[in-house]
This record gives sequence, structure tokens and C-alpha cells, in this order.
Amino acid sequence: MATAELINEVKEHIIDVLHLEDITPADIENDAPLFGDGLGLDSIDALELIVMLEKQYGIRIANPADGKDVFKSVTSIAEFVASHKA
Amino acid sequence: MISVISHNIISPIGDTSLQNYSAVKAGNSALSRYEGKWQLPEPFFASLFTDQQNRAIQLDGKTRFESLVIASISKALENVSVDVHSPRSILILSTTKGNVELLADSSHFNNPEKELPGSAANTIASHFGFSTKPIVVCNACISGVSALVLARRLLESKLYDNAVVCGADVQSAFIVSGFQSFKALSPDNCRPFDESRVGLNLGEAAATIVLTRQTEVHDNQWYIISGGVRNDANHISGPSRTGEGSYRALLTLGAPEEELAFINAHGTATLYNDEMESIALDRAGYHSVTINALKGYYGHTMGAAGILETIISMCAVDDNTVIATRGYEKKGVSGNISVSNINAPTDNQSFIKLLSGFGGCNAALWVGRGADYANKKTASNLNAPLMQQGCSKGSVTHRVSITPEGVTLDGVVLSTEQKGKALLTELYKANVGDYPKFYKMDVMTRLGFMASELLLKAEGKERFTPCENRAVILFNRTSSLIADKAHQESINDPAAFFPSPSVFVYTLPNIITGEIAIRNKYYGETSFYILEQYDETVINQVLEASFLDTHTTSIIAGWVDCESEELFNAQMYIVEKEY
Repeated sequence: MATAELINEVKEHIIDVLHLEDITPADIENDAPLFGDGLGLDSIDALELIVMLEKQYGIRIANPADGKDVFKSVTSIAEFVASHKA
Repeated sequence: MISVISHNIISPIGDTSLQNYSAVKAGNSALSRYEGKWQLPEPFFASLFTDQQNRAIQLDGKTRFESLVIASISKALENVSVDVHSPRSILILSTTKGNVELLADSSHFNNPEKELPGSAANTIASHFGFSTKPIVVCNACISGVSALVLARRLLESKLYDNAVVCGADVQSAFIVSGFQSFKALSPDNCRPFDESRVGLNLGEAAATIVLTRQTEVHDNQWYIISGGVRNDANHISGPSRTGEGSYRALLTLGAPEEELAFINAHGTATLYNDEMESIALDRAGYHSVTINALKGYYGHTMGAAGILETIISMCAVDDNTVIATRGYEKKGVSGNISVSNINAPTDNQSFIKLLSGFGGCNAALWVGRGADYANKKTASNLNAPLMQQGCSKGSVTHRVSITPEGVTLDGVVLSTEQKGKALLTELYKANVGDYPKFYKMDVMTRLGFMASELLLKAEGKERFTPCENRAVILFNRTSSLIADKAHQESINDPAAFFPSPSVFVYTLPNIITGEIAIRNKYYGETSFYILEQYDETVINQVLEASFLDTHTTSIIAGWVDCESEELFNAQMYIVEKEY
């Protein structure tokens, strides 16, 4: 399970790399979908999140299709990171 | 009529157009796997010049890119009598990244003048002794066809008599790492339109077409019949799911299917591009003519692609042949189109060249051989009332100036507090506020975007209604220098090698035109040109010629240049066509 601290850290990274100006971690719901309606992210944002995982956590996603499940929500990203830290 | 009087291709598989065509017809390619090349951490598959080929091309005092362009133009000019010194001759250079590999060298990074595409174009023009100023077309992957469309218009408008149009790009860690960050590269030979395609291959080449305006008609002469550029108004990197821009670009041509030998598509072999093209071709009614793609022979040669692929297509028609799509086996796109991996015979004497690129831009060109095509009156041409009457002039209806010091709109100084980059954010908050994509844009794109927003606010018309008659045509000197430096910095240190797709995408300056088209649902033409320095005469020539488009009645136009985040200059305006 991802800790609240890790979830918050992931939110801060997302806000930073995706230039989500005027949005704070509190504005992003842990389990809300990141793509589609949610934050209105697009395909470049998905690729940018792949770079973020590699840069911040050393986790590599070679095939962008594999990112689809990981990037469902902040919780799914944090759990993915936690499982690689374990 | 605008005639092709000479051409050349220099690529890893040949030094002349005919050598290249013979190699392609025989199914040859230089595509191969590179590991550790340019210290890149990941291997890649590409069509690159060998060290020996590079040495053979290299000129003293010129860069690799400039040497390659000069080699191709020299060969194209060998057997034709074109006076390049004449004020009636112009050089048009199509390139996406020109000398960008120089940025890897810190001495150039800090003094990047030589990296700028306009500087390279000037070096090349001086080498041949052109007396006119060259124009660089920097319209992402459609640059080659864009350059031919521009050349055709400048000649049609009688602004020039001859145009030497060269397209070229050389590969480097800069470009390969950017495409890798987009996860767009295929780990092996690319497979256009195939069900198992996974991405594109990159390639190096230069290709030159020399155009002239002629009055005599010749049976074996090639003619540029029509051409158009259209935007998807959808996304800066993802192709439209409805093939909107390519479909509309195809419609500008007025090319009946039964007259076509084939349609040479972009066919990069990425999942989304090929699917998009199949939908656009299907919508435009091109169901039975063979669609082919040449990326399986050359990879994606970027700035060269539109010109190189037009030349191979002319050679193929000269040889009554439809070239096979190398890498294709089983159809993997949803559009009702016909693709083949076997060379086939044809008697038809014309073809369409189609391209699409980042920034949502798409370009189509109809090219034909023989007297039938010399003075072709296509339905779309007939709709353009000024086509036979020289050029039209536009009148400026609104004008905006944004510099780090302040903003002037229609002659009135706007009251602002911030300076430099912060000024752009202040303008956004005061005038837009609800378009968070603004924060994702690099500073040059923010500058052009805000200039367009202020112009449209001043215009006061209803916004966001889809339209095809307004073009976005911008110019600058520094290309995408700030984004180029940011991307270079992300790959300089092997221990911190993190190329970013959202930075790399802005290393194409035409993205700014795409952002304006997306915001306003403009399906019309979007084009970006680079000049060595601000030149009102050349800008006006290009804008006047741009009204030769079948639909364009007004243009968001002007200069948008960024030397650094705190040193920028936008002088933009709305020009309405005068009848």
C-alpha cells in the first residue's frame, strides 16, 4: 500500500512536470481518473509521466501501453511506485 | 505553368535521383540498427550516411548539414541553365532541425548564431551566389511539401521566375532522443500501414527540385498542378482521429482518382499516423488507387521527406511503375484503402504526395507529367479568382506588439505591470484565464498565443466557430532556440539523461501555429517560416502568395521571435484579402 506521504509526493511531481498551474495536491482526488475528464491530461502528459517515474523513482516503462493501468489515478501510480520500492 | 526542370536526391542509397530510384525499385534500403551511436543509451534503427559518405560530402568551413544541402543543390543545377544570381531566382530550404547538432558543442550553445536555420540558409545561398534572401520552411514533417507549395505560389504570383527548393535533415542525438522520448521509434524496420507496425525509423537525406515558370508545354515535363496545407485543429502531436487536416488538404487538390498512378502517403508506420491517413484518404474517396509509402526504404527523412518522396514518385511514373510499400504485409488500418508490397505497372501520369506533421499540419500536392497537366484547371483552382491575375494584396485590420517592455494593441498601449516572461502570464490572466494549456506552452508559444488572443479580442467577432478560410502564417529568426537549448540540456549528461516529450515537441517552431489553430478551430493553412533577419519585403511576398490558397481569405500573420525567456518580440496582425 502506498502511504499518504508517497501519494502527496506523487501529486507534487505530477503538478510540477505537467505544469498544472493553480492546482494544489489537495485539488487532486486520490482515486479520480487522471485522463479523460479528470485533469484533462493528454498523450504528451502520459509520456511525461513515464519520464517522471524514471527520473524520480528509477522505474522504466518501455512500452507506453503498459502505462495505461499505472496512470489510472494518483493511487495507482503511488502503488506502482511502492511495489517497485519494496 | 510551374515546371520541374531538374532534381536530385543524395541519400545513403544513392547520389542521384536515378540511383535512388533504381535502389528503391530493387527493394534496397540502408535502414539498420545502431547501438551506442552518439552515446545514446538506447539502440535505434535508422538510415544514416556512412562515415565514408559523410567525408565525401563534407566541405571545408561548412557544417555537415550545409555540406549535404550544397551537394544536392550542386547536382540539381548541373545540367540546367538557371541563373541563380538573378533577382528572379530564390532558394527555399525545407528543414526541421538544420544545424541543431551544433548545440551539443558548448561553444555553439553559448553563441548559437550558426545553429539558426536562417543562418544556414544564408550560408548556402551565398555559396551559390543567390542575390535574393532565402526562405526556410519549418513546418515539422510537412516542410518539404510546404516548401513546394510556397515555391509554386511565388512563381505563380510572378514574384520570382525560378525556385531552387531543397529539403534536408541530418540525424543526431538531439533528434533521436526526442523521438525516443515520444516512444515513436520502431526497434526494427518500419512497417507502413501494416497490422504489426509499432513506430517509425529516422533517416538522413537531402533532395532538391528546381522549379521554373514556363509558357511552352512539353510532353515529358513534370508540372506542379495544385497543393494545399490544412490543420487538424486537434492536438499538437496526436493526429486527428477523423483525418481532418489531411482530408481537407486532399480536397484542395481537385485530383480525380482515375487520373492518379498512386497516392504517395506519409506512411510513417506509427499506429496513429497511418490510421489517420487511411481515414482521410477514405473520406476523400480514394478507395481503389494504390496508396504507397517510402519510409521502409529511407526512414523518415523529415525536412527532406516531401521533396525526396515527390522525386521518387516522379521517377516511378516515368518508369510506369507503382513502387511497393516496403515493410507492408497485412492491412492494419481501418480506412477503405488499397496498399501493396509488390511493384506494379501503371499508365497514369499524375500522383498525389501527402504528408502530416506535429502541430497538426497536413500537406497535399498534385503533380503530373505531360501537356494534359501543364494548364490543368482543377475545380479547386477555378474557385480561386485571383489565380490567373498575379498576386493580391491584403489589408491589415488589427495589429499587436508584445515586447518584454509592454504591449500595444491597435496603436493603444495596454496598461501592464509585469516585464519579461511574467508579462505573458499577466496578459493570460487578464485576457484568457480559462485555458490551462497555456502553462504547458514554452515561452515563444505563449508569446504567439497571447498575441493572437489580443488580436482576436480586438477583432471582436464570434470565436471558436470551425472555419477553413483563416490561415495562421508566422515568421521568425531564432526558430525554436529556447526549446532547443532546453532539450539539449536534458540529454547532455549521460548520468541525467531525461529527454522530455513536452520539451521536445516545442523544438518545432510551427507548434505555435498549431496551438492557435487548435484554440480557434481553424482548419485552414498553418505555416511557419524562418528568415535570417526580419525582412518586411519577403514577409509580404509570402503573405500575398499565400492568398492563392483555395480558401484563405484572412491570415493571422507576423513575426514572433524569442531569443531568451526575457528577450522576445511579437509583431502580429490580421490581414484580410483585398478583392
